[in-house]
Amino acid sequence: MDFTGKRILITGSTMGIGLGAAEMFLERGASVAINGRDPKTVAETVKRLGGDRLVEAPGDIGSIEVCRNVVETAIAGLGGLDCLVNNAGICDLARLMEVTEEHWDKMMAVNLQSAMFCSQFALPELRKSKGNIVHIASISGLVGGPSDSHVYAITKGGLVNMTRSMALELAKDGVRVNCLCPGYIDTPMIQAENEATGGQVIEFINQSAPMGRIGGVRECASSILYFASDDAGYVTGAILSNDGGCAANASWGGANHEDAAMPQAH
Amino acid sequence: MSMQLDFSAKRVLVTGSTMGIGRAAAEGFHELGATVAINGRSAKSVAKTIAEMGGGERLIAAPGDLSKVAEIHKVVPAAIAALGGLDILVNNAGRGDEALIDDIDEAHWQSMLALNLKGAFFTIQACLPALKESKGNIVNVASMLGVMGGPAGNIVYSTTKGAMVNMTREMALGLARDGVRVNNLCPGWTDTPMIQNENMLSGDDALYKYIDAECPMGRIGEVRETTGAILYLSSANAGYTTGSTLVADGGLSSGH
Repeated sequence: MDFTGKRILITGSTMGIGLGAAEMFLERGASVAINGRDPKTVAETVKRLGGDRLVEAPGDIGSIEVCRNVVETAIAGLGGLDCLVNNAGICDLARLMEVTEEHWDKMMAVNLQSAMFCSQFALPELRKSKGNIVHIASISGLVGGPSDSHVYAITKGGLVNMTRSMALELAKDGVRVNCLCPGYIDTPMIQAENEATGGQVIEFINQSAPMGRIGGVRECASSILYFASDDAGYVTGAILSNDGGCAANASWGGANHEDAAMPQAH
Repeated sequence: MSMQLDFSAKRVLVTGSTMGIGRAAAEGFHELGATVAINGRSAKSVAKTIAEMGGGERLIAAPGDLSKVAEIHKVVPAAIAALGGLDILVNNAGRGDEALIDDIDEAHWQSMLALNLKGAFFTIQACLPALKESKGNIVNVASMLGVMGGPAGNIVYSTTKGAMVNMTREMALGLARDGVRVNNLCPGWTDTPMIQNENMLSGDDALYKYIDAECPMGRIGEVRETTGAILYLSSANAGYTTGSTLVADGGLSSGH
């Protein structure tokens, strides 16, 4: 896949899957706008990645106005846009009876509202370039999971179906919209949890994922590049799992009740 | 095993039950012996609905705007107190405003999410203590647009309904060991007053003709058919059914 001359904005790209995708797009010739909440971290990430095909587009996309600023900054810096990757997301935990309105609003704003409005603000450019949008949902958008991530799963289920309607509405504009659902991926977030539990998290994943291991960041990010590429030119409204078989088994690994839950640091 | 439906002594809350699918479901439960709390935004239309259903002590007025969490925290406990507990919650209140992607603004987004998703979630949360006590169940009324994309103008609607479909799975797992079942009903085109009105505005039965042409079964769904699905999911006949998504759409989401 060659992305020479392609202009990409990835929200939440200072770490994890977003960062992995940014690296891979860069290696294949694209220009990439890096986004994260903290301008300093964005600047450091750009410096570390190196080269002149990078744009800093910092901002907390939990507010619609910031979504607008981030997308406009990216478009100005990149000179247009070919692909928007709606990757930024948070996974604050709360058990069902402990979900507050504040928790709900924050999760919806960052995980769902941002995807809606970043897409809307990117559309004029994406229509010009016949570009595409990749939403990053989660296996938890497809099957139920741990009992403390209800609101996370609701946002991701929303994102999965948003993909379908958005794809249909934009099909005639030549703008493709697809959705990636990662399972357990070896991100700094999972690594931190693993360390805090003395290695139990990775052990749990190794036992419960059908493929018997956690996924690598690059082997997950590669699905984003596929969707963004011309190879996927006829692919729109698609939902792709990248999870070592977890969704096929309709399971995160027996994590739905406390006896079988993934170990957590407390 | 009898498939006979009997809701005698069952206590039911149907949100958005002054018209359409919710109203028909409330009537169905009521005819089969349940005590039913009727909800709608306006106290007047709730009172009118209760009067039209014949009144009596098996009908409870539970008016209130469930798009506001603070109001949920008033309306739901009062309804449960009046019912003397709760066996069945039908989360039906919702709105279907349309907007093309370039016209979606914060107000549209917020109003759709507030009623269709946030309201449904916090209504469930407020009902849970009572449902755990009764080993009751929840029917979330989503839409076929919760399992497929929709016609232009429905991005936010289908986002809320897709989220609701997945919320049901998530909650079904979380509540399975409490004995509380949670299921989805996804209606397709249904002959409600809302659709009847849209059809009238479309002129020359254009909407009905479109539906008949598009739907594999060649016709619009009747409201009583939606009611049948809601009654089934909430009955003991569906006692091992949880986290499921039942589509009542004349085959449309299977392909058309």
